[in-house]
Amino acid sequence: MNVDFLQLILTTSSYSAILPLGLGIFKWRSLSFELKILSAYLFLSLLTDITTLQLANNLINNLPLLYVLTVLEFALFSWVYYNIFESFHLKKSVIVIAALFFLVFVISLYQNGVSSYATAPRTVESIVFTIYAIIYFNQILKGNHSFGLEKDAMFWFNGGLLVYFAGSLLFFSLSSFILEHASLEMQRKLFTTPAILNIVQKLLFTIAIWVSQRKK
Amino acid sequence: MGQPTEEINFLLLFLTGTLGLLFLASTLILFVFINQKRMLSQRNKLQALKSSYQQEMLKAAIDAQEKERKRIAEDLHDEVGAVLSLAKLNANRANEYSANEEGRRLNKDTIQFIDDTINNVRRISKDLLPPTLEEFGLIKAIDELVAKVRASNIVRIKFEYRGEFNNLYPEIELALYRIAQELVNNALKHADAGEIEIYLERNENHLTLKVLDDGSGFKVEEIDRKSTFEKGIGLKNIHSRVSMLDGEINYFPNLPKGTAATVELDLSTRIHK
Ligand SMILES: Nc1ncnc2c1ncn2[C@@H]1O[C@H](COP(=O)(O)OP(=O)(O)OP(=O)(O)O)[C@@H](O)[C@H]1O
Ligand SMILES: [Mg+2]
Repeated sequence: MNVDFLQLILTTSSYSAILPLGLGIFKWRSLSFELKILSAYLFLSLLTDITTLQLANNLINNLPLLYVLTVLEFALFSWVYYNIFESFHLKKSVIVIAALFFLVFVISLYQNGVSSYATAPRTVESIVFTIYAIIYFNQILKGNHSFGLEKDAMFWFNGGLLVYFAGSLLFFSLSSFILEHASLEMQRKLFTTPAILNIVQKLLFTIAIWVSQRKK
Repeated sequence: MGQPTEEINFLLLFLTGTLGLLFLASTLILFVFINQKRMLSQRNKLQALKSSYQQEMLKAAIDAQEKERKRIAEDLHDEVGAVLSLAKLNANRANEYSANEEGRRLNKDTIQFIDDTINNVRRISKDLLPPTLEEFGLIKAIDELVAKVRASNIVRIKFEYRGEFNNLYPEIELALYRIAQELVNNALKHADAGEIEIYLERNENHLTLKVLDDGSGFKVEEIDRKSTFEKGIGLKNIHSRVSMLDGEINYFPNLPKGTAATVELDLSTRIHK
């Protein structure tokens, strides 16, 4: 595989939040509350991604940033699901699970230190949001949507989350193992997995913001 | 790991697993998308069926109402009218047999009552079934309505029209006449208006009926909020007739005061029926 190609993917991935974020700022006044949360997330994500890239270029360990992004990401996406889940029980569960996640996060941080890869939090996060996405799809099918899903911003948002987290699940859960045992060349290759999925996710988020319309 | 073959094996396993999960995720998304599409189209079909059924019900109800009116009008005219004429004849003859002054005076009053009633019956049966409409068409019928209102000297009233109205379907003519009648009645009854204007305009297949008054004005939402007990059926009937014809009715506040009611019909959808 061409080395430059890998670098290209990693760089593109780092900047991929620009597209949906730009669109989100452009359409800000007409965005639903959930999409405003998403835009805020995109802003933070872009910030950390660029910082991560800079740190890597300056040979500084960037893994602590992943912890920061993970906890922010979990909080913001949970907030979105708290809003879009209709059932009261689900809303309550989102809060409880967020609290449990925070526990896992703190324990993992305490045991492995900030310089380690956030394996446990990332894995748990992937599982949780994969399940949320499936639950939300179920909610869509059970409810009576009056318009096609291609015009439903939350459908695309949910698709983005599902693709990213389901696709990255193996990578995240094996990340510590990979960092410990795989050759550096192999690590480079494997790290493109979340990068590619990240680009796909941001594209789907772009569609979500693109199709969104002010309700009523 | 460390050994190249082991690394390749791991990579393959990793890729297979990840692609597998991605495949599952995309299948799920596709499944949701397609299923929802199917559900939506099914619901739309059902909705269309329901609304066409509702239209038919509406049409049946209005047809029944018109038929009933016609029957009442004919009965009134034939039975009540005929008997009243007979009664008048008898009263006239009784006059000849009456010897005293008081009797003749009573008889004269009676004849006057009967005359008034005959006129009333004729007026009511004409209102119920405007013969002018069937014979001379919409414009003449509205003209007659306007003349009647004008004769009462309560308000100034004006009627203007533009376009061709001779080739309208009878059901559309009748609907427009009834709507105009009710709108004018409402303006007389509720608005306390000094002036009423009726405009009828046809542009190819687009027809507009406008009735304006300079009275008190009203808000449709407030009428909607009234209990069914207080509510009249005039506006509801107008609404039924308009939606039977796939048209649209709007009530705008007229400036500086009063009401402007506009009915708009697209005749092209009717022609092929
Ligand atoms: N031109 C108007 N100006 C002011 N108020 C009006 C006018 N037209 C209708 N309204 C109001 O809307 C109400 C509903 O009218 P609608 O024709 O449905 O019932 P109605 O005239 O009271 O009874 P019905 O028509 O059954 O004899 C009226 O009671 C009146 O308050
Ligand atoms: Mg009325």
